[in-house]
Amino acid sequence: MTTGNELLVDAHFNGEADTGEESLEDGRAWLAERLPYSSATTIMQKYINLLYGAFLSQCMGDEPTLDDVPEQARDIAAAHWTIAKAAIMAGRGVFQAGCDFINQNKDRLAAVEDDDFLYFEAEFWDEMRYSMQAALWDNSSGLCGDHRPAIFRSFSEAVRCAHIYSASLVPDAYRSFQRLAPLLRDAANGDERAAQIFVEGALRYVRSLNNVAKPSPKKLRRGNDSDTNKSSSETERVGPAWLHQLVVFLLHLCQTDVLKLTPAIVELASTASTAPNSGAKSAKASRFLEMLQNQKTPLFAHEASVTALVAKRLSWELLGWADANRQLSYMRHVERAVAFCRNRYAISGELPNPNEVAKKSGLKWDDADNLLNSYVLTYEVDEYEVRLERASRLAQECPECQQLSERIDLSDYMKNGSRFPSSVD
Amino acid sequence: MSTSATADFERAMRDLFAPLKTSPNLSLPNSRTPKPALVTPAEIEGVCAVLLRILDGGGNSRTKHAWINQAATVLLLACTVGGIAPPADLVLIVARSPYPPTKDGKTNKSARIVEAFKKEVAEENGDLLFGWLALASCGRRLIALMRGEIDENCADNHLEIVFDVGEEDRRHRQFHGEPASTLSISRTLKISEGLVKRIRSQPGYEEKMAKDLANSWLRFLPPFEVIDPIDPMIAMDEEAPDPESDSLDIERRSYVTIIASDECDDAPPFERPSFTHGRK
Repeated sequence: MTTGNELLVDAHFNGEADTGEESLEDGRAWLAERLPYSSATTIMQKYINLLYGAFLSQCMGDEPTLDDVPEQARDIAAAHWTIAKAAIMAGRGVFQAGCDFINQNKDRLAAVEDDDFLYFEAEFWDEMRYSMQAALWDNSSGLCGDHRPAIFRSFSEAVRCAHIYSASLVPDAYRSFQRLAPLLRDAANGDERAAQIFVEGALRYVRSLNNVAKPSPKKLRRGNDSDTNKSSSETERVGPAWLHQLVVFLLHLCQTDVLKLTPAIVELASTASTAPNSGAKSAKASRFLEMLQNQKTPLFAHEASVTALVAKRLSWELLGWADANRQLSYMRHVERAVAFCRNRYAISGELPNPNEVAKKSGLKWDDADNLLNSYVLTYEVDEYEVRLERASRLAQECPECQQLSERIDLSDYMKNGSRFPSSVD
Repeated sequence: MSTSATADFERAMRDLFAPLKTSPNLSLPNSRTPKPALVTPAEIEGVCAVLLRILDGGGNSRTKHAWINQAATVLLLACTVGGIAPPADLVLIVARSPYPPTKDGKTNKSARIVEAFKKEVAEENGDLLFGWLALASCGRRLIALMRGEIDENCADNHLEIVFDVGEEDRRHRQFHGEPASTLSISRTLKISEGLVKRIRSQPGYEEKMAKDLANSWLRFLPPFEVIDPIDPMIAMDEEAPDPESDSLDIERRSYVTIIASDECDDAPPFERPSFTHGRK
């Protein structure tokens, strides 16, 4: 862990190290003063130190300048500096929120013992991710719709970086892979780099699966390996069927020229497969593919494309937010719920109760309640808001978008006064 | 699998790997850029059509799915080498032909195909084109499996071993008038005597060594080991043996001639190209 810490420090300070070793030493000393734990002993403390160092290196700096913008985007950033500045601040806000959260909870985190690391790390990450979401609201409230897509993009990029940092530090291959879940949605949008990182993570997880010897049925009957059973049941893990669906999804993206087919994807395809299914329903991956190949343009503003929806469903299953039985129609119901929640929030500043959400969206009461209690909702509402604003802006120029934007008014969504219409109806 | 499907698959695979033999640009694959001409979507779709026919043909055995899974892996890798997007039919095959993963530490055959491919590519500094050789080897194996010449339990490089044994026999017969001893082949190729005996006792071994290998499997050899086919008329003018009677010898001798004429008259004796590709 110490070596990793040093590497991070090197990575950050090497760019500014004009005077060589001396500056590097200064940098190390500077960072050491700010780390939450001066003498880290437990796994959690070392993990937090590394994560804090990485976050700190991202949110340092004074007033944003053009140097903070990638070179290829500097011209456009200079032309729209107000938006660019707000976007930079949103990105920094993510990492600042992470640092603040760590500082607020460092005593609690210091008490975590090594055996409980994975459990508490997952909990810590969920809470911190929520505080990052709050940073988006802080940085974007009061700004007009023109700003929001750029800010949201910058925010998403920063969150993605944070996820990759965390994934590279979590020692467990499955946890690490889970942390990369948001990248799948970027891959669906044609981000080659995100696809590459995600596939690498998947391969690492699959290899770790293959290296685990399967316990013999005799042992399982005897129940001697209660520890193994316990550890495997503690985490809902995605299995071969999910990986098979993932492979088919990635290959579909390659087939439609969204991604480039790489040997890594083929390797994943060759290692991740599921048992033959002779049933009339056929394998889920086949049904998935059929849906993907027959995809139509979304009918309503609150609906994402089928590709984005499949990516979201796969990532939700990976994260344990949806089980394997969830179909795409469930995701459409969630979209309705998100649209309804956003509208209610925009009008009254409060979220609706589960009864209302269930009634308007078609979700079950339990599902609606779970959705309202999860931080997924805020993220989804943000994403929906951005999509909505884009549609509204484009509507002024394009007749088709004009038609679409007219449906944005939620009163038009009502069908017989009860539900939002959807492609699944 | 029906005879017609077997023949169609073999024909489609030959079409896929045929550019190795005919394309002048592929004589020495040192380029880092995959050559679009190496594989075309139409060739991949040709093989996919046969695979879909086999999938639709009924039966749900593990062996069938394993075979199709391997074929799909070869096609996907061929797409990466050619730099083309996988056709929709190929994605459908992957979706419809699952194969149970092994969890005992041993990777399945499809994964081993990818490993062999990556190994070849890594040895040549990341040149994807060199992975093509591994794919050609897998293509040969899949055809042999389909024909029933080998079974799925044979080693990954079994075909290469069969070919090497036949080649040793042929060379020995050419110079000494009789086949090599089992012991000498075993020592030369570093395989067990029992395996040599088993290969030799296969029905039709002699015929295959003389004709089948020469006519069929040689077509899949890597580009720098395969020469252009010789026009029989030119060969006759050069007093070459009758191509109908001994086609393999024509190719071998003419290969020697090409090397000798390029270098000098006192060129060293022809050294047999290595066919041990993929051997562990």
